[in-house]
Amino acid sequence: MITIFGILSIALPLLALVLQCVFAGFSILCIPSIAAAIFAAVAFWKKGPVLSAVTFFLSFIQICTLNIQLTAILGLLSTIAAVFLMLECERFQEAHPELIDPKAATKHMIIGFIMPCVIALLVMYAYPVIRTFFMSFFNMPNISAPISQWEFVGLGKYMKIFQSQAFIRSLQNMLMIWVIGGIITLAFALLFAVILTSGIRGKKFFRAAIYMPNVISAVALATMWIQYIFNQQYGMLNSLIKFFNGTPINWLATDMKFWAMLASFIFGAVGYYMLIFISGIEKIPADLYEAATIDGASKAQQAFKITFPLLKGVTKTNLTFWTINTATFYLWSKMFSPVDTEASVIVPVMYLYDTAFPSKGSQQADAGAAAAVGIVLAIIILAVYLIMNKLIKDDDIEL
Amino acid sequence: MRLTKKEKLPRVHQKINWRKEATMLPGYIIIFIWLAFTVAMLAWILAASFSTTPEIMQGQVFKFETGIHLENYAIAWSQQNVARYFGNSLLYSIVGCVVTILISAPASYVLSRHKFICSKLLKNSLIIAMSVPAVMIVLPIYAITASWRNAPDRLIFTLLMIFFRVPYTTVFLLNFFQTLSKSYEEAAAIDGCSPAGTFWRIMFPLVQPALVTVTIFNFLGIWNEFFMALIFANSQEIAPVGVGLLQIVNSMRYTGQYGAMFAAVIIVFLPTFLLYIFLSEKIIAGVTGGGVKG
Repeated sequence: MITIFGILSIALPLLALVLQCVFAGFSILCIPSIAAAIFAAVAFWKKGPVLSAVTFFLSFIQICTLNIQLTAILGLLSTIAAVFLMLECERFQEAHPELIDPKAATKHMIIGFIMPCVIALLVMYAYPVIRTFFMSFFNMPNISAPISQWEFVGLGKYMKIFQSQAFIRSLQNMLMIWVIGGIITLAFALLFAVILTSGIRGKKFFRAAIYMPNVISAVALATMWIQYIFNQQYGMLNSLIKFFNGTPINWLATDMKFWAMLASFIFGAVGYYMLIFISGIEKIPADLYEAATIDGASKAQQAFKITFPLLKGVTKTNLTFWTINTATFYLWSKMFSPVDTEASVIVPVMYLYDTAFPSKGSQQADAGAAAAVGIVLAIIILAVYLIMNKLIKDDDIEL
Repeated sequence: MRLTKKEKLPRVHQKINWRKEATMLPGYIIIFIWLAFTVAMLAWILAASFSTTPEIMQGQVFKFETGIHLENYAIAWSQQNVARYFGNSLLYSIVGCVVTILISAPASYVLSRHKFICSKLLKNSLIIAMSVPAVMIVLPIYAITASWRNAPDRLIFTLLMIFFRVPYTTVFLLNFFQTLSKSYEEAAAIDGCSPAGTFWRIMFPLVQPALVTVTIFNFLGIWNEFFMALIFANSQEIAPVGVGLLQIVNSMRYTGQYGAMFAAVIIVFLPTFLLYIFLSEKIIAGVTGGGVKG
């Protein structure tokens, strides 16, 4: 039995591979089949159930990658064969325990356990990042065009995006979110963190309540803000203004929209940074505060003289997260301009999305330019991270 | 147990020190304003989801003059497709969480226990992968998946969600496997258990608390995913709740059913909110203690 399933799980991926090459030509999509065949051969030779499990995983990916009906069915069959190979290997090992070499078994386990994770890294991160990098130097007819149709344009795509008004505007908006939003968010987060760690009652409840917006669906949260808080007719802010006999404001008008978006975004973000600050404050030794209290320092003095200087390390963590958060800012912009992108709230990721997947027929999709936007954002994040590491050294206290 | 009880006892009988509390009054006021705002917003949305559109427009949602309109939920659930979005999200989240653990836990265990070629490199790549923004990877992935003509779209999106959560999950679990004693493996080996069997039967159950925490975060992450969903799962059939809610809000200008829209907001908001009510301690501990280096 084990021989039948072994041969099947080697032969089926190979057959699928040959047919795929004959009908559709060799491409990156063939790699899982080759890997599946190799792993099936090794698993069959070593009679290893863990190696068969990897074969199963690779065979499964085949079903997705092979793009002809016939080869996809072969992929499915080889997946089933791999399952049986796994069961047979397990049975074989139980029947012949003297054949198991503990060292080899450990080796198989390492390979088998690490393989799916490595595949995930390669498929989801390594290959796409490298390809995005190269895409940014090429002109291509459409996003999924094969490499043979790519046309090298050097830095042309970068020139193009930096000459685009929309992109410059998106960078300006991002900078405003980063600086103004960052100052307000981190100030609020620090304020709440100091209040909550000063021995207030119901600390756990308040902490959980302030962090809550981070947990719920941001789309739902944004809808609540747009449809209720900022609504011109029945919204909370305008109701308050009417209550005090003021004139209602159109919060979602073009000149107010950015600030409305920023305010609602800050409301959702504060909780996370507050938690990081709290964890930093709680690591500061309590005797410092006791000594300060004995010396007659007020709570405010303690905050400015002890807490803030010792929070350098967590501030750096927070700034790094804030930078990543701002650079990948997208959801709130999309919610505040759901149909057509508006210049007032445009951010780089939104520009990237519109460039790669234009919603209107008039615009030409430009995958190269979109990739260039991605690279620019990655460089910004990296640069801020490196500068922050240089400027803020958290060697003053073990936090 | 005894110690914690002893520690807690005096706190119960502690008298409120009013002078001490008074010095913290500004702090209480700031927190209360923030909290009152949050509660007012949620309460209004909840009330609006039970009201008719005219009532909402007049800003009289708390009076319930025409009764409680549960039909808003029925309209949102069936007419506006929330049932489908909800089912999709549930599918992505549950399958995603389970498979992510099945991929990450073994890898994390091997990385924390064994040194082999590239093990250091692999650990570092995982940490770097955690901070790779989605914008750097979506374009090539879109190009690849566009050629997977046979695969169902739901499968592709689930696979992407799984792969997207793997680095974080693996890194999160590393610390927990490191704390386990090596004597478990030695004892298992003496009893004739294979290395892989030792992992599944002994080590995997031992890190259960960490598995629960990381699964909560994976669930929240996949449930709330928006950017990737907009690119890879934006058709009505396969959209998760985030994208679905956006579509409902966009179609509002034609339907004008405000009550049903707020009902949809509540339906999307509730699952993670309920999860949070029961698990907030664990989630907060996970944020500050787990993946983040303080």
